[in-house]
Amino acid sequence: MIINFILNGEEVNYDAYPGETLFELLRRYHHYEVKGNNCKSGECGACTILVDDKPIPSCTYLVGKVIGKKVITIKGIGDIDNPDLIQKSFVEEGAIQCGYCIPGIIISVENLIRKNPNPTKEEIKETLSSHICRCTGYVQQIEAVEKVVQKIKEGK
Amino acid sequence: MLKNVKECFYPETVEECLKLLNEFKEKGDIVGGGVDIVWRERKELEYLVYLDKLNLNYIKEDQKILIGATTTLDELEKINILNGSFKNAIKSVATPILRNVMTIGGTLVRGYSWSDILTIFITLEGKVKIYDGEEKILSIDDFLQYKKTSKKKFILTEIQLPKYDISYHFSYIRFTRTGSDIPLLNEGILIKSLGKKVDRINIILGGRPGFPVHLNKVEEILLDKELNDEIINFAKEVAINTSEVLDDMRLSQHYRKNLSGVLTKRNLIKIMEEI
Repeated sequence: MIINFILNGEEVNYDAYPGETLFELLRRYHHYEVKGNNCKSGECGACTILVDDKPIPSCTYLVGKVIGKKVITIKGIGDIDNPDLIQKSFVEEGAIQCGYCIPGIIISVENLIRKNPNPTKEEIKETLSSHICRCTGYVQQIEAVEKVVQKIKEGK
Repeated sequence: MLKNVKECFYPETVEECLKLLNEFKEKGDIVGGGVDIVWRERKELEYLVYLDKLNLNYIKEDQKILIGATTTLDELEKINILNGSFKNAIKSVATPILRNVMTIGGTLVRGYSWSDILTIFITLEGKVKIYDGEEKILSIDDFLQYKKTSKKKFILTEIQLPKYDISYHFSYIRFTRTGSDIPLLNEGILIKSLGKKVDRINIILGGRPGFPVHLNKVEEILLDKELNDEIINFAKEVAINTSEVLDDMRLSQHYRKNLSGVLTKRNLIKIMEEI
């Protein structure tokens, strides 16, 4: 089946299998567009992307649901040459070790800060609760998000 | 990947949707959020029927609170009733990103016995509207029975909650190993107070394992009483002695029995402080 949607600001048309997930489709067409597919049940959060401004686990999202929607992957946030504020902050605060979970976390944090530029520590923790990170213990990640919030406050 | 799926359908009316389900039989199923259907990877599935064009994504407040079947759980967090307890109960389910895709209709139709949503909505005396050729409004208990006994295909279109005035108090606790795991036991309590006394009470225990049930004995001893530390401790003991819980590979019956007492006590203390 042919499906069309907006991927990182560009209209795309893909030939999709009717029973595949958005994760599988993006992996076929853009090999590194999404990471993960660890759990295939939405529990680990590694494959999180934004669909119509909501972070969702792409491994449980069937392609039939994405038609006409707006999708943003980690590449739509920033890349190694042009990282966004959150990505920079995660690097500076040492919030990344193996990096497996980080794209999903960046997407969720991006969504949090877009909707609430001044989140509490509890709200940051709640956002991170969608993601399993076995390296960092989350402490540096919380600090990295707090630093982003501080920078936004200072208008940097 | 659901490897055997051949085609997706987007009906525009419930009648059209039901016709498709009857035509496909076990080869077709409805996609709500899709989480369960992807996870289970049923080999027999060849046709997916999406509800996206039925306009069932809504929350309306009239004489009742009406929730469309494809409303996602994160949208339910916006319903500010029962002093914020309903919102907190919904927020305790799964993780934020999963709540963004899980639909209320899909969760109730799957009706897993350990489901938090099932326990919450039975406690709150929720009802469901289904269409199986004719429209029916059923309590959640009757709906579970209907699912078990009826061979008809149906579509769940709406969930209804009563409107609660300030005399209603609600508390819900789930006990799990991790936040995103399925509950090992969950309990919801709804109390209508008259002054300081308990005028009406629902205590529902779920994830026993088995479908949620009332803790009848505990309800009986609390009815028409004023909540205080003494009666709450007594209720805890009664819950431990009378709760119908079982063993499974995750938790022993003995542990679950004691846990039912602890959850009952914690829920009652929270409501006592509110009253």
